[in-house]
Parts: sequence; structure tokens; C-alpha cells
Amino acid sequence: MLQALLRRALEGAVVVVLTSLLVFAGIYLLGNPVHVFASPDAPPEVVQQVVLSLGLDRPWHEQYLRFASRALHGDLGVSYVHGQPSLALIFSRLPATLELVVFAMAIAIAVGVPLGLVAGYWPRHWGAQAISSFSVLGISVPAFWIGLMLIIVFALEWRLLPTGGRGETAHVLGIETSLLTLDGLRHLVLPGLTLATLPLAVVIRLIRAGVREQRQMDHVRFARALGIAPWTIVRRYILRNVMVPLVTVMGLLFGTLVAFAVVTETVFAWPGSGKLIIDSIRSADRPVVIAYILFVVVMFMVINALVDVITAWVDPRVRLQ
Amino acid sequence: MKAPLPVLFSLLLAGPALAQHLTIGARAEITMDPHHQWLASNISYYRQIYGTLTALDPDAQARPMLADFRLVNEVSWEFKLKPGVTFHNGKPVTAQDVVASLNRAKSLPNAAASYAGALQTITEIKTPDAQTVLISTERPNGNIPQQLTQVAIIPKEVADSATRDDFTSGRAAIGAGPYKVVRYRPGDRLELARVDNAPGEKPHWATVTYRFIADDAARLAALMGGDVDLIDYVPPADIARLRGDKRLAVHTRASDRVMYLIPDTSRDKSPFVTGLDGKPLDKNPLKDPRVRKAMSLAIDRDALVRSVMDGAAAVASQTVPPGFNGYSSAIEAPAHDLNAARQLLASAGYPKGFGLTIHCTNDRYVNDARTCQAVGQMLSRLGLKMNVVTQPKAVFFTQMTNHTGDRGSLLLLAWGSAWTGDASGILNQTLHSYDKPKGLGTWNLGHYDNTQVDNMVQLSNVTVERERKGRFQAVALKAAMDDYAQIPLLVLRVVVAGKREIAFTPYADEATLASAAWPAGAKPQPAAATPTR
Repeated sequence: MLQALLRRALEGAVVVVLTSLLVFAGIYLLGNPVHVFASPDAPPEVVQQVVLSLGLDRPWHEQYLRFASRALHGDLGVSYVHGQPSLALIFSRLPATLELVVFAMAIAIAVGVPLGLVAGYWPRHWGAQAISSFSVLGISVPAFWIGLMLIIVFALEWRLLPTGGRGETAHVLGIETSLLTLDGLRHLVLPGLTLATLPLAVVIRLIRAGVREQRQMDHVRFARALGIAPWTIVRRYILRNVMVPLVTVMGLLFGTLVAFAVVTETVFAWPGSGKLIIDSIRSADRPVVIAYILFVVVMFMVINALVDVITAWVDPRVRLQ
Repeated sequence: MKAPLPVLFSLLLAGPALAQHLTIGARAEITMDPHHQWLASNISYYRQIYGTLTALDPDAQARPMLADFRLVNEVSWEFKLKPGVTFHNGKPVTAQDVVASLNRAKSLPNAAASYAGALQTITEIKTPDAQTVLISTERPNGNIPQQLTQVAIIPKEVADSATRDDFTSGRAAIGAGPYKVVRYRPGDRLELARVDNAPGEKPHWATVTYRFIADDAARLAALMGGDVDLIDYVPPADIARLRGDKRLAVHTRASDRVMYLIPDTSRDKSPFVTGLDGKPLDKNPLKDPRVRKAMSLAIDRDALVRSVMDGAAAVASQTVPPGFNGYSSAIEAPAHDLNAARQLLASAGYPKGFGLTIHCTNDRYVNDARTCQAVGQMLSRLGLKMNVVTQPKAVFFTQMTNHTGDRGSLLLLAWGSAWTGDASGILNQTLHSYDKPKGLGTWNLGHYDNTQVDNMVQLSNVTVERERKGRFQAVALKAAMDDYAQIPLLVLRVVVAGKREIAFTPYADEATLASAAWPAGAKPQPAAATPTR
């Protein structure tokens, strides 16, 4: 297993290097960003000084080497706009995003698994069909629309919940979280639901398909013929097999939600890393953009490795190689 | 059950005195270090927290804030700190603090947009006594009080030692402004509390929260949902809807920003001008003032105001807004006249027109992409074969500010004159011929070059007396506009919306100040804050 993970790490390093090259070259092609953030009235020597201090006058491969050698020392550059190390900036905004994603994933699993079971076990029941239609809707409707609709209904019409922003937070073990205050939770509900829609729909469809397939299997049929209670069959023979693909997909979805919570964070003015990356792209804050993309690549690799480990644990047939 | 309770309370206590807290939904976030990034949106926060020697009034004219000022001689200004002005830590503001702040602003290493630009022409800063700062300039400069509205004043010990992190954490955020920082949560909010011994008019609100909501729709929803009391940068398309809502009020005035076109007046072959067959033209038709005039006549500015800006703009006759020093009342906005425009184009030798690409931003100015499309259509009606390209500002500015490369042939830009308070910004940076060593014409992206204009601009620069300076500027502006060096389109408007119970004075520079808001009817607006335009 250790060997397998080591090989993974090596492959990952190659991917990171290639991605950094691609991203760097792509961003470089856009040209010199100094006029995006320098004031129009700044005298040329000041602009020139900024250009020199950021090394923007060098050819791109030189800039890349400079970046790469610093990156090896854990320094991914300093944000032009905020003047803080870009990685630190990303990590300072990450807890808010993680909180949102964990909340959304919890909803997706807690609600999606039972609904998927029902929809798969009694496929002809009208309730099951309603669940299936809902899941199709959940996959096809864009997040920003769901967010706006939730805001209109719950925040503007009924005035039950706030329209956006992060509420009061409490500190637990040094982590700032809104899960422990009432105001924080009230602010979390709508963006959480918005972000949960896609994973919820995916979980329902995955579990439903798995259950339907497993139901037709010989071992399940024999178990039923033996008169074993339906709940026991589901728990012992169906759910176990369905969990394997679920773990894989959940892992990928988790990564996707963290990396691309951008839309939800924008609609709800949620101060997470998604909002940071959008603001950074808009203001041509290159170090943050590059650091963020690399961070996402590494995150996906770690998640995939974890998924493999968990899969091996859930399904004894799978071996890490 | 939520709404009636506060209503009941305010009835009991008779009057809106209870409303001591204000929440503002702001488009732009603050950069906590006051000398790191020179941006108008930052200064609107700084003047409330740190304070500045002078500050802009609603009409973008410099007024004394921490200090009174007077002209000593042509090349020096005296700033006398007001008596009793103290920092939030109780220490008095001294001339030494001012010097340390100005020096830090000028030379902070790795500043993203250095404030050195706001301190141009200053050669020496002297402190004859603890209350007095003497500023000498390399040439006569009447704009010094305007320039000093830009630079935040902080205690010397903070200026000497504080790092960026100290400001971000709020530890070093000590100033002399009417509000002090209670908490700053990056990406989310800034909480302020009123300081009682600050100079000037005491703001009404004891506590103020700025929530950073960059997305237009989210900001609007926050106001309509009652989460915030006031929002800035209301998109023009939503004004009518907000006006129809009985709970809300819209506050608007002319801004300092004029939207205009820059034609390429210098290159013999312009990269984005083609023949009707799509092949590059040997000659650049935009060099001919008749062609530029024809384009100006072909633009229906009233239609732009009506249908693109939903009324939240005015027709511009020149690239400086009315009321600013240097505005020339002798210039009239060209009336829309398509026939005259076509004749003019024909007489210039292009009866069938030519191909032209217009480049615009799509995320920088209010409705920039829509204006771009509309202008493209209007120029098509003139007979030009138009190609409209809209780009994010991060792409647009990196390409279009390249003075030696393939800049666009026709650009849409906007210029704000607030911080200079007069025409000097537009004249020096966009109309004076491009002179890299002297820092002139940096934004003259069409490389317009007219010696007569240059001379007049230079003359106005060394004139201190306001009226005279304005006359010189107006002459320069008229010469450039008569030559269609730029094609002015619209004067934009500041649009702020809030709850009906709140009165608000919009500022021309789009600062959304807590002190500019009052409970409606509770207290008359201070005289200085009454909009005149």
C-alpha cells in the first residue's frame, strides 16, 4: 500500500509541474497586468518600479523558473492586491468554503441515501417516481438559478432567512465556524441548500441505479426467497455493494464543490475561497490565481488517493496496487 | 413577527434616535493597509478611519479635514493641523505623524498601486512646529490640497514599523478619522465604531457595518431583504424597480466620470481598420478629423441615455463633467445628425465606409458592454462595417495600454476627474501627447498629438490661481474636442439606494460614506454636504 501511495505521489508531482507550466504560459499570454491595478495617474517611474519588483519585465521562462524555485520553498508568490502570501490568503478563506461544502455534502448524504433507496427499491411507486424526477431537475438546473429562487422565496417574500453573507461565528479548536451559532446557521441554510442540490441529485440517482441493479442479483433474490426481512437485505446485501461507487463519486464531488463553489459564493456573498478566486481573476491578481489552481490540482490528487484507500476498506475485493 | 417589535420600540421612545446602527452593502472591499493600493474605493474607507489632511466634498472639491491650508507662495503650501485632533489611541496628531505618513505612502515597498502618484511635484516637506506642515513643490501646483485628499494619516510609530498583516488584523488600524475599526473579516465585512472626539461634524451612527457584496444582484437582494440599510453602485436597470418600492429610496447625482471613445489618431496603418473587403487599409481614416466628426455626429447620445443607461446618465459634450474647473461651456454636444455625418464621411473619401473594430471592457464601467454594442450599431448606420469586441478588464487593459504594440483602433473608456477636482487629470493623462519620461499622456491611447493643446496644458499646470487655471484648461479642452481627439458620450451618475427612513448625500467620487447618511427628517443635512448638481 505504501508503495502504491508513493507511486501516486510521484505521478502527482509530474501533473503539478505540467499544470503550473500550462497555467503560467496561459496567464503570461494575457500580457502585462500592471495597468489593471496601478492607478491611471501613477507616474511612469512608479509603474516601472512595480514592474521591476514583480519581475514582470522578464521573459516568461525566466519568470517561471523564478516562480518554480520559490514554490519549491513553499512560497507561491505574494498577492498583488492584498500584499499577503497567496497560499496563506487561500487558506484563510478556505474554512468558510469547507464549512459550506461539508454542510451541503451532509445534506446530500443524509437525504439522498434514503431517498435513493426508496426510489430504487420500489421503482413503480409514485413517490419513487417523484424522487427520480426531482433528481433529474437537480442535475439540470443551474446553481445560480436555484440560489436566486431560494433568496426570492425565503429571504425576500417570507423574510425568514438572510439574503447572504456569513453570520456570527464561534471559535472551536482554533477553527472559525458558523455551525455553532444560531445566526451562523441561519446564514448557512440557503447557500448550503443551493450547493447541496447537485450532490443530492447525484447521490439519489447513483443509489437508485445501484439498488435496482442489486435487486435483480441472484444473492438478493435468494435472500428474499429465504424470507429475510427487507431491511436486513438492504442493509447487508444491497447497501454494501452500492457504497463502493458512492465513495468514489462523493470524493470527486467533494473536490468539485470546494473548487467550484464560486457561483454559490458569488450569489450569496459568502466569503470563501471561490469568491477570492473570482475577485482575483477580475483584478488580474496572478499569484493568487496560479496558487489556487495548483491547490485545486493537489487537492484532487489527495482526495483520489483517499478515495482509493476508503474503497479498499469498504470493498475487500479491491487492492491498492 | 420580526418587524413589529422595532416599530413598537421606536414608537415608545419617540423618534428615530434608537436607530444608531447602519449597515452598508458595498461593492468594493477595503485594503486595510492605507498606503498599499491607490484606489478611490479605498480612500472612501480611509477618510472615515484614518483621516486625511483634506477631504473631498460631495462636488469633489478639497476641504480641510485634519488641517486647514493656505498658499504661502507659488511653490509652497502650509497645512495647519486643527487644534485638539487626536488619534484613536489618544495621542495628538502632530506634524511628524504627517511627514511619516506621506513618506510611507510615497515609498512603501511592493505597493500594488503606489500613492507616489498622488504626491507628484512635492519636493520637500518641512515641519516648522508640531502643528504645521510646509509642503514645497517643484513647480507652481494649485492641486496640492486635492492631492492630499488621497493620503491617509497614521501615527509615526505605526508608519515606521507596522506590516501589512498588522493592518489586516486591525492592530495597526489606528487613525484620526471619525470611526475606528472594531473588526475586519476579509471578503465579508468591516465593523466600525464612532469616535467621539474626531474633528468635524459628528456622524449620526454609533456603529457602522460595511458588508462587501461585489455581485450586483446579491447586493440588491440584501437591500430588498432588509439585511442592509444602504447599497452603492445600483445598476441603472434596477432604478425604476427600486423607485416603485415604497420601503426604499434612490439617491442619485452626476458622477465625476465621463465615458468616451478614443480613436487612433496617430498610426498611418491602424491594426483594426480594414477596407470593406476585410483587408488592412493602407491609410488610417481615423487620422482625418472629418471622419472622427462624422462618427461623433452618428452617435445618438440621447438614445444611449434612454435605452442603455435607463436615464442614469447625461449627454456629455466633453470629457470633463460640468461643474469641474476647466469645463468649457463653449463646447456643445454634437446633435445626432446621420445625414450630415454620411456627407462628411463621403467628403473625407469614404462614401461607402470602411471596416472598424471597437474594443471595450465588459466588467469595468456601468453598462460598458451594452454601450459598446449600441455605439457599434450607431456607427454601422453611418455605413461603417463594425466589429464589436468586449473583454474583461484584466485582458483589455493589459493589451490596450501597450504603447508600442497592437493597441485597438477605437476604444471605449471612462475617466473620473474627482481626485483632481478639475480637468487636469484628463488633460495631462489622456490628451497631452504621450511622453513616457515625463509621465504625460499615459492614457492617451490614441496617441493624439497637438502642440497647441500640449502648450495650453503645460501653462495650466503651472498656474495656481483657480479661475485662470480653469480658463487655460477650458481652452485646451475646447481645442482637443474641436479636433475630435476624443468622442465624448455620457456623464455617468452615482446611484445609491437605501431604506426610506434614511436620507443620503451621494458624492461625485462615488464614496459611500456613513457620515453622508442620516435618519430621514431627524436632522438637517450639514450645509457643506448639500449637492449642488
